[in-house]
Amino acid sequence: MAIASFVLQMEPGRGAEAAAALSRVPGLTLEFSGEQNLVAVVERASAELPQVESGLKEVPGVLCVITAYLNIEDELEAAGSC
Amino acid sequence: MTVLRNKWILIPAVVLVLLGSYFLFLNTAFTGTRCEGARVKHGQVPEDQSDCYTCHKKTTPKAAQDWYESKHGMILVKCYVCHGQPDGKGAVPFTATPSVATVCQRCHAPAIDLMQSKFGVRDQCETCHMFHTSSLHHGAYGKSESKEKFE
Amino acid sequence: MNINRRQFIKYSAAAFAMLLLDKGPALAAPDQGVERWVKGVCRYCGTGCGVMVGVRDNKVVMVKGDPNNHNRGMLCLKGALLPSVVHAPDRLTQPLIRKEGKLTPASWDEALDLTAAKFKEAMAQFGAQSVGFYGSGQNLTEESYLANKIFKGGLKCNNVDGNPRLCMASAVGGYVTTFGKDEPFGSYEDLDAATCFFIIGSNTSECHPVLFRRIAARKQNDKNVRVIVVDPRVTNTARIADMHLAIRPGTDLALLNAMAHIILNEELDEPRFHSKYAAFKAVEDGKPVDKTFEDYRAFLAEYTPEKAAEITGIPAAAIVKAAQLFASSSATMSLWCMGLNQRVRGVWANNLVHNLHLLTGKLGRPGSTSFSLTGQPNACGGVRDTGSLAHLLPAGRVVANKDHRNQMEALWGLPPDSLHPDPGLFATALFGALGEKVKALLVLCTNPAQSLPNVKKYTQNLRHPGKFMAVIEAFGDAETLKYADVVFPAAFWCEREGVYGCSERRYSLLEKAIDPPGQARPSVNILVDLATRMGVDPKFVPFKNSAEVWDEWRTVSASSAYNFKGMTRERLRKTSGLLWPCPTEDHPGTKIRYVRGEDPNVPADHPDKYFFYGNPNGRATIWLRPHKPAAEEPDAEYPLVMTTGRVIDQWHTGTMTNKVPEIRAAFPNAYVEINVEDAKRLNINNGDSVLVETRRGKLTLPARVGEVCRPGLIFTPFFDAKKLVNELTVDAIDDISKQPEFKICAARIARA
Repeated sequence: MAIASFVLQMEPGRGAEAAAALSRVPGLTLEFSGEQNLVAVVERASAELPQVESGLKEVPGVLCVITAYLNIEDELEAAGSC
Repeated sequence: MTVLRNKWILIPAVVLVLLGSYFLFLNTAFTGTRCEGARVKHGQVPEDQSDCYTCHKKTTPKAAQDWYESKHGMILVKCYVCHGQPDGKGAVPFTATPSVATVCQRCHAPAIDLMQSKFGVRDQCETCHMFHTSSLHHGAYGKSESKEKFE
Repeated sequence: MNINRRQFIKYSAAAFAMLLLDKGPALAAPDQGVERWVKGVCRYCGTGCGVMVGVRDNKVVMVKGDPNNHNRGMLCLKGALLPSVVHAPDRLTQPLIRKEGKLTPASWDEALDLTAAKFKEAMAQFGAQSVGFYGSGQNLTEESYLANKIFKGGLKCNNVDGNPRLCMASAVGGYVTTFGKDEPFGSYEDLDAATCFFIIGSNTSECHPVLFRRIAARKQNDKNVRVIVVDPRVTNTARIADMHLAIRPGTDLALLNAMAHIILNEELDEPRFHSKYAAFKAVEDGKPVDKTFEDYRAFLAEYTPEKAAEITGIPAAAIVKAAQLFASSSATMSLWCMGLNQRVRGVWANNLVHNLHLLTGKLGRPGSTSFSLTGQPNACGGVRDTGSLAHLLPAGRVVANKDHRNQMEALWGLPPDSLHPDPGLFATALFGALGEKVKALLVLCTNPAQSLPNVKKYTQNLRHPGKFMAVIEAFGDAETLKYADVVFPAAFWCEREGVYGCSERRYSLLEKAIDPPGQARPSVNILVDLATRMGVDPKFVPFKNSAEVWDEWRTVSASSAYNFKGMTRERLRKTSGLLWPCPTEDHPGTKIRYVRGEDPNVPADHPDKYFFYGNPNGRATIWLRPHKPAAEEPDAEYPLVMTTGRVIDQWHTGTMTNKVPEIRAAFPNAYVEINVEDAKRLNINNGDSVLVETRRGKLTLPARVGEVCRPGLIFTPFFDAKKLVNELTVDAIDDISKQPEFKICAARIARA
């Protein structure tokens, strides 16, 4: 599994709408929601992260997604050696 | 205490100490949950093994092998060319998904233009052409039937 | 609070993201905000990839491939990471003069006047041959042409040489002695049509990556394509090879003669071609003498596959198979680089590759060509074509030929018989004479203190109290600056405009994208300023910029087979490069030379399809060249062969690539590559410190144990200024080309 944090830049005033959409993404927790920015932390298999990231861009009101921090805990862990 | 009076020395020093202790803490505090094979962390790699591939062969063998067999691996477009370096000092951002505008475009601008004219604007090349695992890349140049064994 | 590692990382991840929040606007523009794209050429190797330089606020922020140049938008690792080099923190921004042993800032006038005074003083006291110029295959064509004109025409000094002597001289010798004129027969387009690639002495994958990609793509598209790689190391290039021949270093001549033997013996030759277009020759008592086909066959008789196997260490059956593949394919392309050139018999090795093509008629048709790869971006266009070597004059002329000198005197508006009639000193001789016969030297854009062979010997000259050396350089950390008396800061790469000519005779314009930093100036202007202060008539160098130099050089070329008069600046601005000959402004350029209907130098009504107009008999030459070993073979005392070379990440002496943070982090240090068998015998493990020793010096390097080197061979790259590998290499030179044998010397290793 891997952990990544994303900064989402929002169109002004659509934060709540986006937060509601984001709550349906599995493995995602919303750590911060500001006026124009949201910070989301996602825990998913590393191979799925790119899809998660492109999914985030489809969320209504999101202008831009920045991968802020990535800690790929690698495939070995997913195979149960951890 | 002349050193302390100079905040331009002090601030970086404090930042360094804080960063240092963060990574020290991260690497010592949770020994029970450390992963096998991932003994070396980014930023602590011995100099003679600083090539990403050397470690990632062990820590992320599938990703490493997919790259090695891909077109990018064959022509030695190495990890850091697209993914940047963990120290973040370079021009390429350190990320798992390289940006189309700043990374892919450097070599694939003609292909990107072609794809956009065919299918419209997509946000990522990777949605269809997976960087490491797509069949387009996997086993590239290995399909040739001309591989005969010569003694 | 109970918290595990996973949660801790999550919180950290969130915290890191928060840190970025106040940078909002910058993050919203992920595409670097390029304001304009400027066309250019990559700064690194001789592949000469077209690039588009992305500029914002007078800064290079991005580089991408030029889709209209031969590379079709592709770049390699180094090219893609070019922007960091331009804005490196240790760029030189003001002139420096050595005072009390230290380089200290000075004004342009001080630095130029001091240099001019030192040159004038030397010439007044010891004559014109007591000064010299050492250039580079990385200069712009205009810079090399101008320096050559200033020294040979203005100062009447033929000591004009450059680092192409260390890398291309043998290829020049090979082309000139075989075909009569320098530079390749074909072009990169042959890579798309060849059905057999014979790659010998070239690690194309790491040294010319974009061309390697093209070969690999060719192989992927056509499963009948065969790739033969001859290299004592199993390099990355060998990954696409059908056959890898792990040759014993220094035995290439025996292999190539054996392949010719097999081709004749199996009647795979093309008598229609070689009986009509080739002449056979050998050198006897120092003079070339005519030979017949039967003489050649008799000469080859001793090079049986079995004997060649004994010499080269390659199984006889593999040599036979390689010769068969070479000769029986529909289109064979040979590619080579330093593996053949950096040899005491480099010219011979080049001749023997051409021999195979002439014997089998694999020349002058798409995909059939013998193609020499060049190491530097402008060794071909800049140095070979402008004749900026000690024995040459522009456009294929030679100093020793009176007619050639008279032609240049007429073109340069000099009185007849005013050029100095004797060739000047070539690279190693020039540095060997520094401080003694040569008192003042100007170095432009190269780093000889790291790149000369057996370099300790020449650093003694660089330290000589009687020498004066001025260096025009962009980077403050070049090894050579340690010995410089004056340093001029140069505009780098896209900070000025000029032409680069790559391996395939393609000239492309590198347009100016940004202003140089600080007081740095374009080298053309530095050279003109220096020349006039040295007393050269300002009317002889009336150039305000490189475009004016180009126009003169273009006109000068018109009277030669190089003729590129049709490549006006305007045209070069519009296109992504043109291949010479290109005599008129509507000529599209030439893909294949010496062929009727392709090469404008062959008359349209020429009776034969091929015409080797560079040779008096109109034929190409098949040379009878016997096998000769390397200058320093391994022995009981030094039982291993050491070879040097490049790695893909780094380029030359690393003054540019080490400015790239990504590369510096990934590949900062030199190493020594050792075969597992040798390592086991000497009890060396991967990563151990190993003492590498040759007769000239020793170095401690970390070991990389593997199967890349053949047993008995060790390899080290030469980019690392902390480990001057060239302190170990040998400076034996090729008799004809004067190129040193970097690739082979005897060494021993032990755990340090």
